[in-house]
Formats: sequence, structure tokens, C-alpha cells
Amino acid sequence: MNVATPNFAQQLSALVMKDLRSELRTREILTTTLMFPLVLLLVFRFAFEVGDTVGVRAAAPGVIWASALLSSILSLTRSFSSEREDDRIHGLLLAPVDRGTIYLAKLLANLAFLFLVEAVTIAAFGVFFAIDLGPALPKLLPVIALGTIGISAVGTLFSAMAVNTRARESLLPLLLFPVLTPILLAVLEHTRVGLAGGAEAIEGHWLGSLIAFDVIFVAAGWMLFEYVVEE
Amino acid sequence: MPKSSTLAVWMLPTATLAMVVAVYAAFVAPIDTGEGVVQKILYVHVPVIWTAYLAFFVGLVASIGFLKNRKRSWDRVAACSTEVGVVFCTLILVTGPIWAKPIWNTWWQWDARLSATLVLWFMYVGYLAVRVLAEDRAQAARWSAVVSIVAFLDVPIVHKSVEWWHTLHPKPKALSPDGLNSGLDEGMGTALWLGVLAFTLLYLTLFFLRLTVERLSDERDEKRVAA
Repeated sequence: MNVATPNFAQQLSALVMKDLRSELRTREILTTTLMFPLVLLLVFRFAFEVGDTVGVRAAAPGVIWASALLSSILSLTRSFSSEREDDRIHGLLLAPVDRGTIYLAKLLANLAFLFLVEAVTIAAFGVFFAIDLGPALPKLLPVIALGTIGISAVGTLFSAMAVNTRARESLLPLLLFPVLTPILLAVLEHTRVGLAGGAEAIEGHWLGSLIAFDVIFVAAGWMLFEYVVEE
Repeated sequence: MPKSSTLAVWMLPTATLAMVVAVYAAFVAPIDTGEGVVQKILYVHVPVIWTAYLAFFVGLVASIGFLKNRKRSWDRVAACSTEVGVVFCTLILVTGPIWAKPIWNTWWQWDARLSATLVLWFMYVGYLAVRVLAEDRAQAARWSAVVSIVAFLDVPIVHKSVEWWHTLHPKPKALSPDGLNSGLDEGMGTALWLGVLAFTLLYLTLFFLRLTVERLSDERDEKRVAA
């Protein structure tokens, strides 16, 4: 019998579909992770009760991205803590697939969940803070996409470590947030300019730094992942 | 290759001597006309940051080496050098504000270099956390090596992005684009370079001492297993 070895794209899509399907069946990320940005925004709404719209507008980029980043920790942790149960990670590692491919598949699945978290955060922000992000959104989308790729690239790599330690959720932000500084600054700056809605043009180098970050860390994660999951 | 304990024994008096000379040079160096005596913290601050970068760089090279050859000795070098680097990086964050309070009239500014150094410090504290929290030594070695590489790749991007954010920190005076020591008076340059030498020797002393402790604890563990 001649069984064709699945090519890279087939392997990748099978692995991504595995994560998405398991999420659709358990709905663990959907139930916990999507509620988290909502309660965070509730807290921020009370904390930043400044009365005037100018103050709220100034705080807006920070509120959105602090909520999105904090929520991303939950979904990134879930990505590997689900593999920890019943030693599922061993099944995954025994599959005749390159470790780099497993990393890319996890990165893509995390990307899907992170986009969902961000969509909920931005929509809920508009409702809670009565600021219409609609007009700024088309300009923001490429930045959000690039920023999220970076978060997922480093987050996937570090999550594979953090969930296997005693500290779990508390180690991941300690490792992840400092590394994400360039991404945070770039998305904050874009969001601020986007919300101002005026003639102020955003400097091109912010986008450049996002692209550089993504290229470097997707490549680094792809190469380093095997050292993280090695037995 | 001599043992780390032998190197530490030789390095300790050498570093002490160099430190005495460097402190003397800092005392006799002319007093800055603008900043006054406060400026003298430069002779500690700049050598300390250089030493921290050196220590992290040694840690990075040893980490990459470890992932390639999997020798415990490389992992020891990576861990010990990075640990000493964190100590020096902490010293930068302490000496900087001592200078900033009288000159800028505030302990801290979210200036590019300050923010980048703080981020750097957090990344390497994360490195130490990974080593402590990993389940076993092999895992600690592999994971911390990965963290070291990621941190090092990130430093230039962090530096650029916080620079666009804000900059206020004084420009480099010794290694300046206008030529060596161009921003310094005679006597100041000498004191600064002697400081760099003394702190580099101090780094080597601490590094070899730390390496000795690590090696001895490995040997003790081996004996325990054998017994």
C-alpha cells in the first residue's frame, strides 16, 4: 500500500484544524477568554470615570491595548495547557511532523483566538466608552494584524515553556510583556493617531518596526521551538 | 583551561587594585563646570552599563553554544554570566536616578535609554525566573537559552521604538561619533576608561566565583547520586 506523506500545507492545516475543532467542541477559550476583556473594560470604565470625553479619548488607546494584552495571556496559556492534560503533547510530538510546523500551526490557531479577543475588546470598548472606532478602523486593521502576529509569535514560544512550570500563568506575562514593548508602543501610537482623526500622519517607521519584529520572531520561534518542547 | 576557582583567586586582587586606581582617578578628575561633583557618578554608571552588556553577550554566546553542543559547562557559563549581568543592570537602574535627581530634578524619566534599560532588566529577570521555575536542570538550560536569544534579538527593536517614543538622556561622551573622548575633559577620559577596566575585572571576578560555586554544587550532586 502506498500512502502519500502529507505535504507541509496539509500538515499545517490538519494541526490548525485540530486546535480550532477542539475549541469548538469544548468552548473553553470562548467562555473564559472572551468574558475577561469585558470585565476588564468594566473595571477600566469605572477607574477612568473622568467625566469629559477628552480625558476618555486620551486614555482610549491604553485601555484597549491593556485589555487586549492581558486577555491574550489567557488564550495563549490555554493553547498549551490543553496539551498538558493527559500528556496530549506527547501525541503531538510523536506525529511525523517537523517541530517547526507544530509551532507555526499553534501560532496560527492562537492568531485566530487573539483576533477574536481583540474584536470583542474593540467592540465592547465602543459600547462602554461611547467612542465610535468605526472611522479609524480601516487604517488600524493592518497595524492590529501585524501586532497580533508578533504577540502570537512570541506568545506561542513562551507559552509552551510557561505552562510546564509551577508558576503557569504568572510566568508568561513576565516573559512576554517586556519583549512585546515595540509592538505595544506601535499599536498605541497608531490607535492614538487614528482616534484623533485629524490630519496628523503616522510615521512610517512604526509600521516598519512591526514588520521587522514579526519577521524576526516568527523565524526565531520556528527555529527555537524544538528546544522548548524537546524531551 | 585553568579551573574557574584558580581564575577567581587571581582575578580578585587584580580587580581590587584596578578599582583602587579607578576610584583615585575619579577623585582627581576635574570637576564638571556644569553639573558639579554629581557628574562623577559617570565613572561608575558608564562602566557598569558596559559590563552588563558584556555579561549578557557572554551569556548569549554560551546559550547558543549550549543548544549546539549540550555541554553542562556551557550552560553554567550562560547562567552565571547572565546572573552577574542582572546585578550590574540593577546597578545601572540605581546609579542613574542618583544622578538624575539633582540634574533632571526627578528620579526617573520615561526617556528612551531609561525605558530600554528597564525593559532589558525585566527580560533578564524573566531569564532567572525560567531557570528557577523549570521542572529540571535540562529544561532550565534549554529554556533559559531560548529566552536569552529572544531577549538579545529584541534589544535593538526595543531600543529603536522607545527612541521614537522619547529621548532626553545625555549623548555618549566617550564613544561619540565626534571622536574618542570628544565630550570629556582631559582627566575625565582617563578616569572613565580606568573605570571600565576596573568594572570589567570585577565582572570577571564575580563571574569566576559564581562559576566555581555552580561547579562545586554540580560535583556535590554527582556524589550524592553516586552514594
